[in-house]
Amino acid sequence: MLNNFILKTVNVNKNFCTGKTFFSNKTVTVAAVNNASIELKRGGILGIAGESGSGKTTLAKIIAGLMDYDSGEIFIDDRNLKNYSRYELSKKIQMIFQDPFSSLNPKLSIGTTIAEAIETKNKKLDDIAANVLNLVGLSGDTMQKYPHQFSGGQRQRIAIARALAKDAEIIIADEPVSSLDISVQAQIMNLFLDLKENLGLSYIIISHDLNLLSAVSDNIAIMQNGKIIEYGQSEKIMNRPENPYTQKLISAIPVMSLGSKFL
Amino acid sequence: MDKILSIENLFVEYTVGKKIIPAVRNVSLTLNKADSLTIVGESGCGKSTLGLSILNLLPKEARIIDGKIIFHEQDILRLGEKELQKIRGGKIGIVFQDPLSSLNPVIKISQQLRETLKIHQRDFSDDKIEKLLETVQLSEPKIIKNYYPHQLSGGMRQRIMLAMAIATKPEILIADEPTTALDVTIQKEILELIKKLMREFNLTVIFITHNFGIISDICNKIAVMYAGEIVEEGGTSEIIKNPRHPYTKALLSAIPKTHKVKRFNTIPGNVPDLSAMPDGCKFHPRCPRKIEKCAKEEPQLKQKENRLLRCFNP
Repeated sequence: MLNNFILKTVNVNKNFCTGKTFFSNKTVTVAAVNNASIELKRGGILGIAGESGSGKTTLAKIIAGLMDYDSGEIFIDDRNLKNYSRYELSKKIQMIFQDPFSSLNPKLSIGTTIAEAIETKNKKLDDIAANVLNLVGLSGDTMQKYPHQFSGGQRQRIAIARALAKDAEIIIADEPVSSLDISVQAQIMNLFLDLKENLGLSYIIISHDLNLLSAVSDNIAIMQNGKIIEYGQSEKIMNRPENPYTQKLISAIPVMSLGSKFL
Repeated sequence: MDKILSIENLFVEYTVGKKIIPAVRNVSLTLNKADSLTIVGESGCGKSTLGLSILNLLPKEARIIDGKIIFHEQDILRLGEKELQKIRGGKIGIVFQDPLSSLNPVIKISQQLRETLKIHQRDFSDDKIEKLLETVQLSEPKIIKNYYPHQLSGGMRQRIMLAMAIATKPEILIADEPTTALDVTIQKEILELIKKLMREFNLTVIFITHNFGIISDICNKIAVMYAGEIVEEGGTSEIIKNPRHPYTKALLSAIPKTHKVKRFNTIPGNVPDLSAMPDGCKFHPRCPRKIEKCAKEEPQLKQKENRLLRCFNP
């Protein structure tokens, strides 16, 4: 039954405790992720939307194995996440972050950055790196260059190339385009769609931009205060949202109200 | 109509190492009383540089090469620091994208507002400060005035910035990406607040943004910038309904729609390197409508029907 789904989470919980500080000796527990259950279809795109602090990034980090969780189950290819070694998991899931300026090491050349991610003694590292750079639309001489020589959009392409270098099947992209200009946003989103078609990747895309999510996702999960408050097909969520918070989010999307022919 | 601000043939350059980067080239704009103008464009198009020039707030690497900025028949660029201080934050207010870095983290909100009022010789009593906080729709002004910036949310901080900007009843408000760092629901609230302030104070507003979506609601004029130049300028509804410049068209069509798409519309290529700009029209390497002339000759900004347009083949 799970076979259609490459990834599935069942009632995942994660609490954060604030420690005692100089200013206060109370500890407060916050449910950062509260009973989150999501499913990602093989070759599909799942969008997760919500405002800052809604727990979307925490959930993503848990799925990518970058953060522990308190309870619940996560299955990747029918196998419990806890049974994966770190190395195995990195070949299944890779993550792309919002800020391509801080996610690349400024002291490493692009070739080294990608080779480091592959972490094998494979002699063909350079070939692999050139190949993935090619996949994201960058030329081979990119390898000798350093991050500061690239624009935001190009850096995000390099981050995607690094994720591809491991042959991962699932890409979790946390606000991958929100720091980019609109025209560059469109280029990067198209790259995601091309790679999905050509390599059969599955994506979890996290964004606060519901327009963007609805344009690419099969399903959307709306999060608020750590809970998934609405979850379903993206057309349904956009056209017939049931939860009042979802309705509020959708009504806040800026629209060009002049009946532009481009809408 | 009452002309309040006019920018005439402004040129601004940055010097980075040995490179000279022309950030704003030959920009002219006119604002009438109660106008609201949006300057739209992608990063590096010179829109923020233009905004900062109006208050002569440019960083030291930047230099205004030529042009005038006339505010009530005075050229701002030729004023001394003392006279400029009266305009800056007095007659013209400004709010920036990131409210946290624009507020002093170790000074209470009330004190920061008081400073602004004091410098411009206004009433700086507690009553006045509470009233200002009320104007920007912060509930419990008596409590909030004693807070430090870190105790407030992003939306509340932007409200404080707006309170500071309007404290001296300015004539012009410059808002540089005021909602970009905020969540959509908060963005909507802040835009509503700016609209309310525009009505109440009869403000003339210059909005700087890359987000077309928020403009149509708030502004009556748009100027689209590309590589330091204005490429299209006119009324908001005319431009959004019927964009003529290929760049404006491409920008508008790249905005995600609320329905599923096979692929997004993109603009091929990248924004040109400002220190090595192409000959002819700066947009021609990326333009779907380029003709032979575009690579050789630079188009001028000309009146075409109801707008200004910089294009040989619209």
